[in-house]
Amino acid sequence: MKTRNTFYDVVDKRFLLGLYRRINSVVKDVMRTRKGRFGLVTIVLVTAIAILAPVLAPYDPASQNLTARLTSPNTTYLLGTDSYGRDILSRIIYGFRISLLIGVVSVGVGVAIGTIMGTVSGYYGGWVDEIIGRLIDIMLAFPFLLLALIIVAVLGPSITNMMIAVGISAAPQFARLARGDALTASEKEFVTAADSIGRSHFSIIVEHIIPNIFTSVVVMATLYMGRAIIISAALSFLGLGVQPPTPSLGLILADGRDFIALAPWITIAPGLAIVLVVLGFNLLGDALNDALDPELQTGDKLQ
Amino acid sequence: MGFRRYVLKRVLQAIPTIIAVVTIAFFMIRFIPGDPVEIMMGYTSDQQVIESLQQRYGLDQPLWRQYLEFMYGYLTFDFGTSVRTGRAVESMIMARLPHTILLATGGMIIALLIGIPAGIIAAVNRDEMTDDGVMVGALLGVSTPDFWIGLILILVFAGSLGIFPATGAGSLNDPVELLHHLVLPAITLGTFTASLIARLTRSSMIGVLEKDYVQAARARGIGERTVIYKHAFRNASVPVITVVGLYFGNAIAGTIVIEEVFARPGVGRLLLDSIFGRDYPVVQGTVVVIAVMYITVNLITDLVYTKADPKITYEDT
Amino acid sequence: MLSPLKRRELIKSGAVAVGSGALLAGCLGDEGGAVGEGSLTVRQTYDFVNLDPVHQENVTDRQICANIFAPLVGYEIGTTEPSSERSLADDWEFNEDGTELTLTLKEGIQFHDGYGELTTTDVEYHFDRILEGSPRAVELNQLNYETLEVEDDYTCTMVFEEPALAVEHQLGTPLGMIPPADAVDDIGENEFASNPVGAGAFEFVEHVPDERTELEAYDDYHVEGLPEADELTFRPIPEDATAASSFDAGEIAVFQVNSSDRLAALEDRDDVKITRTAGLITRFAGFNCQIEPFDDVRVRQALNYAANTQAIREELYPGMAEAPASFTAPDVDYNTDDVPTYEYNPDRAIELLEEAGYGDGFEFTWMVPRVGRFSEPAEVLQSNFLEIGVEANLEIRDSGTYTETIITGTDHDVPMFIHSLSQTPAPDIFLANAFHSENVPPDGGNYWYYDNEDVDTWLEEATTTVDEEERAELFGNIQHAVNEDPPGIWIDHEQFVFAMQDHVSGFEADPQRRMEFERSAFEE
Repeated sequence: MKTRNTFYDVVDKRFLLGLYRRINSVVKDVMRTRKGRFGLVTIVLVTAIAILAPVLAPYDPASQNLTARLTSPNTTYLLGTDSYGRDILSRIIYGFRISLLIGVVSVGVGVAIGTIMGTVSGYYGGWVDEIIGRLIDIMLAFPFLLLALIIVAVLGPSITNMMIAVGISAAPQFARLARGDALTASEKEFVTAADSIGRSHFSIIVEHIIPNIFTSVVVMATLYMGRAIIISAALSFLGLGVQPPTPSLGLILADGRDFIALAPWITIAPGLAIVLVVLGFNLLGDALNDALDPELQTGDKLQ
Repeated sequence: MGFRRYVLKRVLQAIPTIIAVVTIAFFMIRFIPGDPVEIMMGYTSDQQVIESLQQRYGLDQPLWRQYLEFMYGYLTFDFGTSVRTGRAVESMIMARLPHTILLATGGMIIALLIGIPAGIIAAVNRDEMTDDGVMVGALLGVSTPDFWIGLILILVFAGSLGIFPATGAGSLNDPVELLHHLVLPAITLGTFTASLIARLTRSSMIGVLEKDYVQAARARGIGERTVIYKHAFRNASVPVITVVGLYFGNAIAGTIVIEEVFARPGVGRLLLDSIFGRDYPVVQGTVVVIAVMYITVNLITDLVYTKADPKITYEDT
Repeated sequence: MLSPLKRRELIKSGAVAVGSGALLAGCLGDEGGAVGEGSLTVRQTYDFVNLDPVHQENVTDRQICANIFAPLVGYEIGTTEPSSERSLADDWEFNEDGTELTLTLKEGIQFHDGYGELTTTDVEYHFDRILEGSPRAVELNQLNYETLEVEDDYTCTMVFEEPALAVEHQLGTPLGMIPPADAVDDIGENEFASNPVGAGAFEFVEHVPDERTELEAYDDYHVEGLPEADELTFRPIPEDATAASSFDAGEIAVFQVNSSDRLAALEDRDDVKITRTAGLITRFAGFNCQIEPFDDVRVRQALNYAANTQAIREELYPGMAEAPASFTAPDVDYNTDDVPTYEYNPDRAIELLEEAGYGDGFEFTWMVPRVGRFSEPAEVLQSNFLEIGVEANLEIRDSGTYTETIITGTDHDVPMFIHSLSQTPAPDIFLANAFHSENVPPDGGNYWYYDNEDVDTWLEEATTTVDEEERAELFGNIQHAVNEDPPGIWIDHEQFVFAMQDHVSGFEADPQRRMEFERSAFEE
């Protein structure tokens, strides 16, 4: 019992140290390319804005001023106001917050479900793999947007349900990825070695399989952040996503659509804000991909 | 294994997936909070009316029986009756399906027409301004919500310039009108996919252009154009073909938003309307049809790809 | 290329909409200005669900129905005055105690598609179908309808258990729109819903789902010389922004303007005509009077004081909203201003909340349909309530879910909703439906579960008496009571505003949101 503990300690330290070095070198690699710099800086910036939203926003994003409806950009309202007289700049600043939250939570749900399914499937193989594999196939039989749409329709429209829906819809992609990696990893020597010295399946998965699939999952998760934000904007447009007055970038854009001709500033700035965030994640994802695994092709990862 | 047996195997493999899709469609409405009977019955509290409606929709039967009848219905192309309109679901879907297929195909054609040349140009001019321009454009294309692109296209090309119609799909009997109505929605739908294809074509081309046989062709003094299009692109297009099927499937789902924006008839808009109208038999039917289309397109691409690329052995699935 | 086609098909393919033909022609560079002659295209938000007057359920359906079916007692277009010219009945007369309405049909009225002449058999068949189970049955029941006595082919009498003066104004609605009995049998109940046959100014031609519903002029329409237009097409366009662009492009000729900002922009243009009228309608936020804290009248009054409905009318809907005093619209019979009202007064609101024991405010869920004309005022009221410490959590739902929850009453626990009630010139039916304690969902329209014994009694008396003065007094009492003990916040009476291309004439906005196009034409 005692020896085991020290054994774990050593592994954990080694693992953490390795991880730190790895991240450090990856960030350096990422920063070496233009798209990496742009992506990383954008995401760091957007995250900072999101965290500091209450400090940065000049107005309460929900407070209305009906006498100042549809004001075009001026010195009081730098980006103008919407149809309720709410400050668009403040709504965008808070919008980054909500949209990042949507991205992180839904991709988090997708990664969690997907990686567990994929790893278990790839590691155990046999009938477990057969069943989970079929399940992944069935989920993949629904296009991303359709699957998300059905799940929200079943659960009812709300921001939480939307994040769950987008997450579940992304899960099979992560599962497929994790399954492949887990399959490869489980055949490697160190796993068979660990198995032969009687380590439990759980600890083998945690210590050996997960770190091995970690990089590809991180790359895909980064790329899916943008996708999740775009899909959630579409769901909000269709009335199945974020509910007012919560200012997600997608909802601000969807809400402003009736004024696209009369008051274009309501949609242009939030539109550009969405593009910026999604672009940031896509570039970062690309750069990570190049840095972590130059052999992987980039295009189909965006799927 | 011969190609024919491989086709058979793949088709047979798709069947359980389709059965699973239909099963999901069946159970889907039973997961919706609230009593499905009540949800489907609408406004009345009259017990007699409820019972007769229950009978009509078979909701008085035990669940397994309902399930079997549902499966049998889908097997015999009888998708049930719409709660809102009282019409046969399959006929409601069939009336709109041509427009959805047209839109998805149009979107894909636009995507290929823009994406492939853009990708080739970027690859040939690697790391130059042109390459950067194409890649930035492609990134913008995947980062912009399609409904926004659609609304702006309508505003500019229909509202202000009046070059293309803003709404509708035109009559199926009039190809000119049909195409005229298709332009803006197809561009809107195709933008996202065009960007993906451009990126993929670029990376695939770059890989091929470095290969020995391309260098050899150049060395033999063959014109650069011929090298690019005849030698390099033919080889570079293989990975592009694989994903085209997948993208096509996603384009089918993308029509939901586009049809709503452009007020086009289509399966996606029908799905949306029936979700909002609580018309569950129609929701089930449209979900199954879209999923089956998606599965079919993926299957066909897979087969075409297998046939086209001799390097793949049929055992690989 | 188009020559072998029949005229109808030619117009269909070449010039579906007023402008798309011209657009196409313009773009292809031939015969400029080939606008489909006398063809009128109208925007609606949704595709129709059911065009059988017996089963139609929503505004979209009703607006199309009004052009295909002629009513027993019609209105002069754009007014609430019964017009015998536009009615299937030549004459309609109550007996002295108001319990019998004798209808004399015009002779020689022909149905579309050769279904022959309209007779009392068709009327009888129509009412029978309604009683067999249709949304209209509620209306007949509220009128205490008993039976139809048929005298001869052209004379019949509607018999009621109690006086039912209000029926006159119901016969202009789908309740009085008579299809030919044979056609319903021939075509079948289900098919009839999308292949309707009537005796109205336009005949049904074709429905392309989610694309268009095409009607054409009916040559034997009973009003001489009408309709003016040859073709009438309804186009379902869900997005307002798309519809506006479509109007700019000339694809649609008429559409209802829902936003005052868009209205202001359209009013500045000289190639656009605007027609508007005060609607017989009240938009309101409603409380569920049985749910805490809304079971306390002081809380309901407090929220009335907190609501700055004037700001909604003047800032959100300038020129499109009239200030309400009573619940009934000003043009509804027996409307009175002699009712208590609530000026915007947050201090008074806080006082009332304190009296009621909610000095610290409270939180509740407010279900709102995802329709601009409801979600916009709801968002404003939400911020008003916040000023007095009351937090409303908006649940914006698609209209399907909303209808199911509030109107069909599947969930009785929703504390607040927002709605509008379309009214008729006679207040009997809609008031009883909205405020009588027996008319709670799913069968009635008392969505606020309002229960006031006095109001119940007054409603019963008012709707069954023929004495004008007595009716006026009783309906006055009712309006007073529901303002004093308010189950909701009356936001406004909406104006119905329509924009049309300047070459369209003869279309007028209607107080009951009808869209009747028999006098509409082009001036080119």
